[in-house]
Parts: sequence; structure tokens; C-alpha cells
Amino acid sequence: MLAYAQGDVRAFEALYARSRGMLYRFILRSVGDRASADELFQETWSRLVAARERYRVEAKFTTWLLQIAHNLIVDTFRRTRPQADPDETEAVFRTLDAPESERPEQYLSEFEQRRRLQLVLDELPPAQREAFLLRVEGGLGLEAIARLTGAGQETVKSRLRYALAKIREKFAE
Amino acid sequence: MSGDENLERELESFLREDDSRLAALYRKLPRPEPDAALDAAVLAMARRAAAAPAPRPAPRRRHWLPLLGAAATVALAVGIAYRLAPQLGNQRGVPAAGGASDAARREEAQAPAATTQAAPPARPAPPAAVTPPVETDRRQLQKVENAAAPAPAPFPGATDATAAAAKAPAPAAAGRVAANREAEMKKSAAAVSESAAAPASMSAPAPAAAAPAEPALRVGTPAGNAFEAPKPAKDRAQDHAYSAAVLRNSRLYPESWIAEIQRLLRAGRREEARQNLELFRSKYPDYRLPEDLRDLP
Repeated sequence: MLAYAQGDVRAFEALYARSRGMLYRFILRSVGDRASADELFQETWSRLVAARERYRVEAKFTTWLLQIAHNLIVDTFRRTRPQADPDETEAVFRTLDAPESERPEQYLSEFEQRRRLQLVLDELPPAQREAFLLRVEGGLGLEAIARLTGAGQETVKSRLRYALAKIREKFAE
Repeated sequence: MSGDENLERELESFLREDDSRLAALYRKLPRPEPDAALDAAVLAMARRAAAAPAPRPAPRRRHWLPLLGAAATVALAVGIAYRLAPQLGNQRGVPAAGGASDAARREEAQAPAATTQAAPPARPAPPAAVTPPVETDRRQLQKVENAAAPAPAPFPGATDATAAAAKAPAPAAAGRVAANREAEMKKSAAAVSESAAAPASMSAPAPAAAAPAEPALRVGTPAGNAFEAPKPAKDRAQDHAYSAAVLRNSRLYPESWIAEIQRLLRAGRREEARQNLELFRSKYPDYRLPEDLRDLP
């Protein structure tokens, strides 16, 4: 990022290639629809580029990127909190579903697990879902999640605990 | 093992391991990515930004600037007040700094003694409210006479106002004005002359300006010495050589001073009489001395 701040476009391209999928999935699974995800994804990079002079080495790039995305998502939720009914959830699931060519019949049971996981993620309250995504998608630890979301570590831990409990409950059905 | 314990163990595993069972399941979810158009848009935006000059961070607000401004304002106000203080003091009757006022202050310090001798019985100093008109009139008169032509300094002992005014080769108009002012001065000065100690302290115009104004003032005032022009530097230096008693006597009318000198001689205080006579001669070189004093060295 420091190299890009000095005008090295190739450095940015490398960063982008490494982080694009993680960021996109974090945003998409947070907001639930591709149109909003595309918009927020582009806005996140735009904010990052505009703020490149303020980047400091001590901040992990992934954390910084996710922080920007988190702020944009929170703003989006404040403007229009998504109210996903089961039909919308199913539509998202279909959107996120892997191509048919990647779904051999022998993996149907696993597919059912993934489907249930996808459904429960959509049903989670935003704060719990975000904490879960930051952990599994962003690879952040408890402390980093707490700092990024502005919540206490115990609060984050509690959110994750509730999220896991709901996932287990969904899988037990 | 209860469900809660399993949940806690699963949570610890989820937080500790990067590849917990739940994380592994999550990774098997579809992994959507931005499409090519979105990638192109983001990369193009980044290239444009890199080509353009980097945005300068917003300048930090300098919090010390308002404080510095306030301090400078206070300093300026104090400076102006310091400059104006003497002027305000003058307006309230405080003598201005300078050589002329120094002389006035010296005379003022000696005034009480002179008053007791010149105008017995002594009266308290006149109220300040009475004296300013005299001073103001005197200054105005000086201006008028200066605007005309400076009259030669009159004989110190002169007592005839008309004669003194006639000596001045001033234009007729200025002479008339001076005469009118002189008449007014006679009235106002007479009111305060008996207690002339304070007026003496106020006779502090610049020497050059005071000389032409003297005739009218001197002749119009019974206590003419009270309105004497400031002494030249030489005279002031001379004054320092005399005792306070001699200097007090120098404020007397010439005739009274002569009488005092004669009294000193009769009392056997010859040295004191000699000093008085010496100063008298320097102040009134043309005065015709009595015979008994002419031979005194």
C-alpha cells in the first residue's frame, strides 16, 4: 500500500488480486444482494485509494480494508435495513450457489449442509453475522474484530457464541 | 457433557483454529467474486488516482493561532494604553514631561515659601478650577502674539502694560487682539494673583514662545514674578548655586527683595545679603540699586 501511495500501480494490482474475493464475499454476505455488494465493493476501494496517503504500516492492510467496508455496510444498514423474507433468502442462495457443473451428485449431503449454513447466516442478526464473517472470511481474531466493530471483546465473543448456537440449531433440524 | 460445554469448546476452536470444522464448512460455500467489469472499474479508478497528484491531506488546524492572536491583541492594547496614559494625564492637569515642565515643577516646589512672603497672610493654594482659565488665556495670548511678531523682552521690572504692549512691533490687528486679551487677563489674573503660588507652577511654556507673551502677563499681574518665563539653562544652573532662602527671595518684588537684602545687611548676615544681591544683579542687571548696596561686592 505504501508503494501504491508513491504511485506504484502494480502494487495496487497485487493487493487487489489478493483481497478482492475476500472483500467481495464479506460485503455480499453482509448485505445480501449483488447490486448493493457491487456498489459497496467499488466504493470501498474508492475510499481506500482516496485515503492511501493516510495508510500506516502498523495497520494490517486487510483489517484496514475490512474497516472501510464495515463502515459502508453500517451506513447502508442505517439507510435501509434489509428485511429478508424467506423468498429473498432463497433468491440470495440461488445467486450465491455454485454453478451446476461444480455440484456433483455425490456431494448433495454436503450441499445441504452448505445450504443450511447459508440460510442461517442470512437469518443471523447483522452484528452476529458480521462477527462471524470477519472471523471466517477476514481471518481476524477476537481483538481485531472488537477494534474494527467498536465493540468490546466480550461482546464480540458473545455475538459469536450466539451465532454458533443458531448454526448448531439449524443443523440439528 | 452438556450442550453449553460443547458450544464453548466449539467457540474456542472457532476462534483458535483457522480451519475449525465450522470454518471448513464455510469454505465449502460458494465463493462468489466480483465480475470482470467490476474489477476493471476498480483498477481503472486506481490508475487514474495514481496518475493524478496525490490528494493533500487536509491541513491541520493550528490551535495555537487563535491563542497567538489573542496574546497579540492584548499586547497591542497594553501598548496603546501605555502610550496614551501620559496624554490622558496631561488632560487631567498632570504636567507634561520635558524641560519646561521640570522648571515648573521646581518652581512649584518652592512656591509655598514664596507665597508666604509675597502675599502675607498666606492663603491656601487656589483651587485648580480657578487657575486653568488663566493658563489657557495665557497660552492663547501667546499664540496670537507669536502669530504677529515677537516683541522684544521688556524690562523685567516694567509695570506699565500699555507701554510694554506699545513696545511690541506687532501689526495693528494683532495688537488689538493682544490688548483685548490683556484686559481680560488683568481681570482673571487679578482674581488669582494674591495666591500666586499655584500659577507660578503653571508657567511652563517653551522659552521661545513665552518671551513675547511676557509683557502683557507681567504687567497685568500684581505678582508678576509668578508668571515669569522659564529661566534659561544658565540661570537654572545659577539657581543651584544659591541657598533655598536666596531663591525664595528671588520671587519677591524687586523692591521687596532689595528691602530684604538691606535687612540682612543690618542683621549682620553679610554673606547671605551678598548672595541675594548677586542673584538680584543677574536677574535685574538694569535695576538701579540703593546706594548702600552699590558697593557691596
